[in-house]
Amino acid sequence: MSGQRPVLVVDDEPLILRGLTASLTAAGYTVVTAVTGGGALEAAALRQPAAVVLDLRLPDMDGVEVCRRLREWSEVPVIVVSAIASEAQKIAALDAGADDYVTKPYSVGELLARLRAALRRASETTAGGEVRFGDVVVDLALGHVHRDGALVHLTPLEFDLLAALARHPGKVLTHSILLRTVWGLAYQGETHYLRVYMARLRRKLEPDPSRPRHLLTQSGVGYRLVPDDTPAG
Amino acid sequence: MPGYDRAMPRPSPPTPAAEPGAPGGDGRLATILAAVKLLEADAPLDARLEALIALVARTHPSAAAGIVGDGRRHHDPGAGDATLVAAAEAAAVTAARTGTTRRARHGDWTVLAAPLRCRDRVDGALWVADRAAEVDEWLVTELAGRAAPAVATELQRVEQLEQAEALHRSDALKTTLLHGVTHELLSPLAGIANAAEALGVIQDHDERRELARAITAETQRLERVVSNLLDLSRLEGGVLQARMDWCTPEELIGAGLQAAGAILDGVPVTTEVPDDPPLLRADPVLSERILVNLLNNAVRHGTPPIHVAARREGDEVAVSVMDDGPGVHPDVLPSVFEPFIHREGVGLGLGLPLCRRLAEAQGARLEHRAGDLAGACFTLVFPLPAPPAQAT
Repeated sequence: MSGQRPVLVVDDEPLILRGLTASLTAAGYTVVTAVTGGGALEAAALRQPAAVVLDLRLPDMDGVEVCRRLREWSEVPVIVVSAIASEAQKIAALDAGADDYVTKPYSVGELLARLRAALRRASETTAGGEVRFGDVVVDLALGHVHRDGALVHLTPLEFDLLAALARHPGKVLTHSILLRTVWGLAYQGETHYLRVYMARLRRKLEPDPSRPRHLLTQSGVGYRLVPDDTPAG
Repeated sequence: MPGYDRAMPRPSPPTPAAEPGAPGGDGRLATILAAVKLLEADAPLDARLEALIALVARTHPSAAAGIVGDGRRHHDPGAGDATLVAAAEAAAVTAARTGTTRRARHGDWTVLAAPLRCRDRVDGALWVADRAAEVDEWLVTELAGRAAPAVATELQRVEQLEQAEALHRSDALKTTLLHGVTHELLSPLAGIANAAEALGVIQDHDERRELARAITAETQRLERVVSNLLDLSRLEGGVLQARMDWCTPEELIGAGLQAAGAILDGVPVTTEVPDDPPLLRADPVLSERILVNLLNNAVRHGTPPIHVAARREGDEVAVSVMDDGPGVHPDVLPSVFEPFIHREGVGLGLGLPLCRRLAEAQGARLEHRAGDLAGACFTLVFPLPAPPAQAT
């Protein structure tokens, strides 16, 4: 597959690089690797990867900083790998432009699922179009939502929240990004608005609001809208 | 720590033991010698300091004296003018804080406060107030210097005792912890080592796949034990602190079930939440961790189906995880939440004690209850706060 754009894997742990390279190659991807943040930025520029799997702990610079610099010139999907119990770091990486995260220790299956979702997202354009999940169709241009063919009545704020998530299917949006987008800058700390509106959206669009399949909670971080065939995480 | 704040006013009865002296000459020397003798006496620190104050007060005509230390200030009601004592103690606190001698005036009183300095530490200050004459600064400073080692030695002794006790407690804790977790770490490790060795000799493709799967499963078990241990040590060290946020119980349940997806793996789960979700204050990450642990216990030790319910109970919300298994054995029940008690063959291990502490860290509690189903029922109870202002 010489014409295929590779996946760039950044980690300073040789054993992890070896294992991931083997697993990703077995799954049909071409892999390039980097062991430092500087090396990652260089490889991203030279090899034009289709996606980046980026460990946030690197010897030479903060992974969040790598995200930020990468975003200055590239829209490549970035999945960050972070240690357990480091929600603040995940939030910082997502706010710096990362698309998704997995928490160490993660299974290769989980990473592959995230990678597939990120690559598909990058190849699709949803702006102004339709987003489907379950029996729900969101028409972003007309501002309509249908469930099972029937029009669902959403208040303007409910629709804005759904639309913010639907414009980036699969991508984790932090609490502060959602509050800023839907309610405005002054509302960044007011997470209870999000909780209440999310509960209302789930009651209107999910079969079981306590076991959502599409409007998913990322505890302590934010929310994501997951279309049907993307595994939950 | 003993309080040694004392204020002793004039008049005090003259004692032949100490030579009361006007400032200067032999009177000073006699006072210092008497002070040294008092401070070296075989008596509790408080008694020695009281004797010293009485002595100091006698060295000045119409004087009052006192000592402050350890941040506490209270004085004898018989200390005469309360405003004088307050002013003198304020000067003494400043002297103790800055480590320098302070002078103050209160009406026609002159106050002098000298820090109790011993090597590199200051443990309070000695103050003297006099109305009739200037306070003898040299003498007060000298006496403070004599009193300081006695105070410092006593404080260091108390501090060392406290440190020794804390060390002893944490040592005992570590020992029981080590006993408790060794088994939980060793058995998956042994499984991984065996499977890896077998991979080196077995040729059959299907068997090799099976071994690789076993290694993955045991690694996940190990990860759970290690992440619980990590949480516990972070709780112990005060590193793990709850990040409280507004939450709905249905979202906590949803996130817990989602995170426990691999553990549940097809086990039937039913849920029950109030139609009108109440807003509560919780740390969503810690709550998710608790629910994953409870669900893991229900899968490993209980029998399906698993039922997860959130119910409003007065001014609280109860989130319960219950199963249809044999339940917790009555013999084991009293100790399930006790930290680090290793239950041979039961294997609940660290999960429940950790969960209880994670609950307490966010102002909630974890209880064992009689549930709707036959088996175990563990309930996370959150207090319901006054609701926040609503978005419109």
